[in-house]
Amino acid sequence: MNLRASQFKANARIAAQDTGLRSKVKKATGTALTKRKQTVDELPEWESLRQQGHDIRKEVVDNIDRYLRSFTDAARLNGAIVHHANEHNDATKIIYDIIRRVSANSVVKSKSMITEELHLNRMLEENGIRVIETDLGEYIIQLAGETPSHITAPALHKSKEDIARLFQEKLNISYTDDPAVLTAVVRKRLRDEFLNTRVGISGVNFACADTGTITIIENEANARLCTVLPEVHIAVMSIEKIIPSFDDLSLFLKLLSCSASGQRMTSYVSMINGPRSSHNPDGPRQLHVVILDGGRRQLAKHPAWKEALYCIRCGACLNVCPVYQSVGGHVYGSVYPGPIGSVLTPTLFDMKEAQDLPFASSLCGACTDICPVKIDLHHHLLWERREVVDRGYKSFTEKIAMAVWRWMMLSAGRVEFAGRLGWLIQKVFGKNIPAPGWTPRRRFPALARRSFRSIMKREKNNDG
Amino acid sequence: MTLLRILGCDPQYDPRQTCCGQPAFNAGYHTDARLVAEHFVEVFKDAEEIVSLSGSCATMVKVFYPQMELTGALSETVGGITSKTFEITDYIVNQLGVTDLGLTYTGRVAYHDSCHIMRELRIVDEPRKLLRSVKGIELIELDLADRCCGFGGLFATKFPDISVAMGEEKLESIQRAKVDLVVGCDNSCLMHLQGLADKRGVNLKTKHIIEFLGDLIK
Amino acid sequence: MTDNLQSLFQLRIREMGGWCEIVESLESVCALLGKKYAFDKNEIVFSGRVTKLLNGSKLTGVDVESIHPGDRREILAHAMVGITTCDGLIAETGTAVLVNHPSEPRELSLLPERHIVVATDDQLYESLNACLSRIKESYLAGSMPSLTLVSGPSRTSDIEKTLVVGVHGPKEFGVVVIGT
Ligand code: SF4
Repeated sequence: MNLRASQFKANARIAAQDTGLRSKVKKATGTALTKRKQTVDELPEWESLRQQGHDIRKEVVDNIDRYLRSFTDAARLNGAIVHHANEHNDATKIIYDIIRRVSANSVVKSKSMITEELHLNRMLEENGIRVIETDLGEYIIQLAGETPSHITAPALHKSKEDIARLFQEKLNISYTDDPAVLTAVVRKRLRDEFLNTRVGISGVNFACADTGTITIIENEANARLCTVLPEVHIAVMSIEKIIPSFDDLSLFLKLLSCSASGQRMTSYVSMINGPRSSHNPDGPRQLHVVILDGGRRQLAKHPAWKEALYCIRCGACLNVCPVYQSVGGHVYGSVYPGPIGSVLTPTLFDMKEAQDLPFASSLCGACTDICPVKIDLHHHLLWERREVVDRGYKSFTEKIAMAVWRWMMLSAGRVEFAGRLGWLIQKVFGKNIPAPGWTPRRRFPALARRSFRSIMKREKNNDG
Repeated sequence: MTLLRILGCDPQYDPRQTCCGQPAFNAGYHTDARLVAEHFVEVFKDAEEIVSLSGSCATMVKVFYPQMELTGALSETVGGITSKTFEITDYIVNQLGVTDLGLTYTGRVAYHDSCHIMRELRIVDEPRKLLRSVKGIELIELDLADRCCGFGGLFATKFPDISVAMGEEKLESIQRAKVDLVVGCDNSCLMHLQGLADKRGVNLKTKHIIEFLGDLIK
Repeated sequence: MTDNLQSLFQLRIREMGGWCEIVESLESVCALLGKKYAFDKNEIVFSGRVTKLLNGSKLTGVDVESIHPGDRREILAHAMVGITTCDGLIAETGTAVLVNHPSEPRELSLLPERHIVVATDDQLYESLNACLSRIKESYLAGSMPSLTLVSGPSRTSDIEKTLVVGVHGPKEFGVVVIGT
């Protein structure tokens, strides 16, 4: 499969018929949703927390320059070295240079979507630096040479049997599909890497503008190991990860933990306030914070689309999306799949390339209902559809069809005529005339001989 | 119509009406949608109240019209149109204050929540109230009640494979519920499910709620 | 109130796969841990802050500060139990808040097989917010140490959403609260 957003239609077609994939994705997303629901149901204040989350994220995105400055100052005061990268290439170059400067040839890395967006691993490996993914899901994906199919559960598309076979082949261990044993294998293999690798790379979940605190949430402890043990810690984030204050952390930790994994709090939260110093007795000697713009400042100026920057990457909208459940994450051809991916990919990256994504939704709105920061996801898809049309990306045939439809709909008589014509066609050719896009797998309903309209007309005449 | 008359209304049908414009709107063709919407507003501007048998069309009018850039005098009328348009079960239960129609039916029935009705209009209980009032009915909740059936208008023909995959999940949920009939407030979803069931040889009956209730009156 | 908070804390920490015991005296902390962990003395490591908190009561194990810094990681990576204090317990989430402290290196709660926190019941907060603002207030800008929130053992659901405890960090997390 050519995994590009422009190939969505073709790839989704294949994926939708892959019942094996569908049942794996369905099972995993179903479990995640059930756990989330249990926890949220016990939080009567959930709706007001969502609104608070939304308002705070809006405040940040609306004033992104100010918050960015203030975070940068605060983090520098803590002793961090802050780097600003406008383009993706700038960020990868900065990271590469940091690693080279300390003459390291390998890095341990915890899960981070922004490094996926940067294609950091590929770039580092091409330059001779070994990247060791340490989150279990990411480790599996790296071993398989694939990309994540979900933003919080990268290996969601793999069954335990898939993983067992992968480990058997790549790690030379005997076949076992017991998740506990498979996990133990990874623990053992990575222990020494953690103890001996000199550079750790992590993402950032929230960056506090007032205290310069970098917050990372996780369950496995690999992010703690990547950010406490090495000599150098490189934290990579995009500008919109900022929240105004340290005081907002508990709100966002709650929103994110609940939505991502149905926990009130994940097992571990690291709040990093600088490198080793007089007030920070242990940890890396250097803390670098690399902040990527990557088109976000521009997006933040758009009155509607800026909302996509409120996202806290919980993955709940993927779990709840019936389209995602049917096709999995890879077919979106973007680092960000699912509803948020369909919203973000065209506006942040390339609308022409990703023009199918806004249309790949039944607009059911389940994503909008679940989003912890109340992003109006499915309505954004509608507005983006309009943009795709306005930019003239649509085919000539579709434009003509739409013009004909409009011409018909502007007069009741034409509608009536079309209805009669339809009935007549069915009468002559039978009910099973093929209609591409519909009939191959569904039947067409019988059209009525007399429309509601004509019944009503007759009734009126009789009355009169 | 009969149902509304029994409830003491005097419903009128304006034959000039065509469409609310949603197909074009959802396809991104806002100019075309606007022209059709303006036609709608023109036809209905003098109506006292507008009742729609399709939750999706009611959504278009109530939720999306205010967000469209309608032109001229019509842009002023639109607010009025929006507030006097109702989805039919919402109208019966909340405007007319009727929840018991005094009907009887024996059988297991499931109600299908159409997404526009459930998530845009937030109408969840109204149709259930009407159905529950029918004596002898066994109203079953689907285990995937809040999941989209996969119709989604244009989506169903643009991405038939995903649409069908979603429909299959819903169909399985319906089969698990072992019902004789699925009742909904939007014919398009029902048409999709019925079409899918027919093709697969699954024995499924679907009916619009008003058709269902209306038949019980006769 | 404190009773309610205590039972809420116990409930939450259990939900996350950890445990919490409430004891009445410093001696009972040592007795409880001594009974629970019959390991070699060198396999149990605690922090200077724990020594201070226990105020003379004898706990089996070694003080992390007595280990040569160069050997520390190696020893902690093979230790069975790491015992630390904390700077707040959060009832609503079952969380222990650890502030980075010179006599309590972060590796101590990270590398050993088990992580045990010894706390006092006056450290109990209802909400995380209350605890965090208290901590923030006590430091000048630019001088707040790093914080670690621990709410359970290391865990993953990355393989078919099956819960596995003990991935890269401690396989067990427990809190002993000293009540009055
Ligand atoms: S858009 Fe909302 S639901 Fe989706 S990942 Fe982002 S925060 Fe979560």
